[in-house]
Amino acid sequence: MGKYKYVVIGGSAGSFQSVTRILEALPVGYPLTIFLTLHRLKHVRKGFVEALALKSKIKVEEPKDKSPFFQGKAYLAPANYHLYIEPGNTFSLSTEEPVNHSRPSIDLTFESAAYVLKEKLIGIVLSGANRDGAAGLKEVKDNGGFAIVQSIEESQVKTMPETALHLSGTTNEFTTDQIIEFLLKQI
Amino acid sequence: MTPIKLRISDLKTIFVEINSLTGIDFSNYAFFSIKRRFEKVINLYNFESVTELLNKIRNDELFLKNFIFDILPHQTELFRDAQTWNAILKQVFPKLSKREKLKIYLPYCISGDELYSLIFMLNEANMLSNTEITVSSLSDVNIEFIKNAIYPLKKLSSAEKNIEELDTEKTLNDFVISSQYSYEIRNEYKKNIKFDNKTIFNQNYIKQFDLVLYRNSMLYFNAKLQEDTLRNITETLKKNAYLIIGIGEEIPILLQKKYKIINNDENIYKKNT
Repeated sequence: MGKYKYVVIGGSAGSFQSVTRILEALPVGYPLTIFLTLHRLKHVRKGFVEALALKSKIKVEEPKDKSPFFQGKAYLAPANYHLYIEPGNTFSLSTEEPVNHSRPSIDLTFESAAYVLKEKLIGIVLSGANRDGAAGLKEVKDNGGFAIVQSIEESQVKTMPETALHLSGTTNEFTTDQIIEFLLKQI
Repeated sequence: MTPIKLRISDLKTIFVEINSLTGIDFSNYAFFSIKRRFEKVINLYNFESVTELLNKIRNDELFLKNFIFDILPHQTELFRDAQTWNAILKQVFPKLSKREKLKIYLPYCISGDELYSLIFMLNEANMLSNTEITVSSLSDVNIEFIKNAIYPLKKLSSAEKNIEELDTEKTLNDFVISSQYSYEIRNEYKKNIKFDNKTIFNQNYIKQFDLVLYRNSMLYFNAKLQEDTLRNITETLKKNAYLIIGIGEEIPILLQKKYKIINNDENIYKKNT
């Protein structure tokens, strides 16, 4: 396994297709841990994780507060909670105020993951309509992690990847295929 | 001005100082959210260094009270997780309505959203007049805030969506009075509440309560403090009393044998012994 051991992915409007393609492409036994913070309807608790799991070969679940995370699994931020990565490889959930009008907020998951996982982390910001994820991706980069933004041309809604690109200063603007290729190289 | 970022050593120093001044111990709070909250509030007050903050909290009691109020994570909403409230109405209240005098406890209250949601639902079930609700909070300022029950108007939109999903004919206008920037809980819903400043657990609470509502408070604690607080709360429940925790939360393993599950999706439990 390479130097990266964790992947944090943030997405909003127009990101669902890329997320499902990424999950579909990762093989059984994929050794990295995936964190997904995707903007979602706050009142709809059920259905989203099942939709993501449909084609995924790795297990996708919504973590409970203070539950541990493990290699080779994907974890989706639950509806109406922020998702933090805590020291000691556990999650915390939070009902604090929305950030960037969002709960879960991509920035909060990214910032906590960057703080705890540092240079072992890959951060990916996908298509979306607001600024959420930009400050978080900068933290990933500033803490020694690898920062990726979905190709602006490919993104269905460009605001989120554009803002993340400018604020983080990363030059890694990848299409979904390139993201998949990069993630498969980490095995 | 560059925003302050706190190192672990800074946090430890601040926690020790606050604990010695107020008795409130943040050292077993969940790390990232408490770090973020301190950074946010320190930057909100424009402090330039940790030393400056420490001097202020040592010398200005009123400031310290307001500072703690800001640090405690406020944001929940009225009728959060409407399905849980519907389950309480269907599965819990009918069992409790037969009891002579109902006693309910809300520990670690911060905003009052849970309290007033509960009162609304008790009123729906015609159980309010027969119920005494005990509320405790870590901070006096929070108690005053909860008593006033005035909230910024921007919080109302989530409550409006939630009440649509509740099994009730009522609308929010029956429950709150809105003005240009804020809304207030109507006075008839501010009844039968006993406020107990700062005492989260005391000997007088042992086996006193028929229901404890403890949703989304444990999220802010580490595993040790979760277990410690829930062990105390378990002591406050009568036999066959109900405990409700947040849907993202779990009962710590060592305490699970004390409860049986009534509703797994909504995290409603009943005490065994």
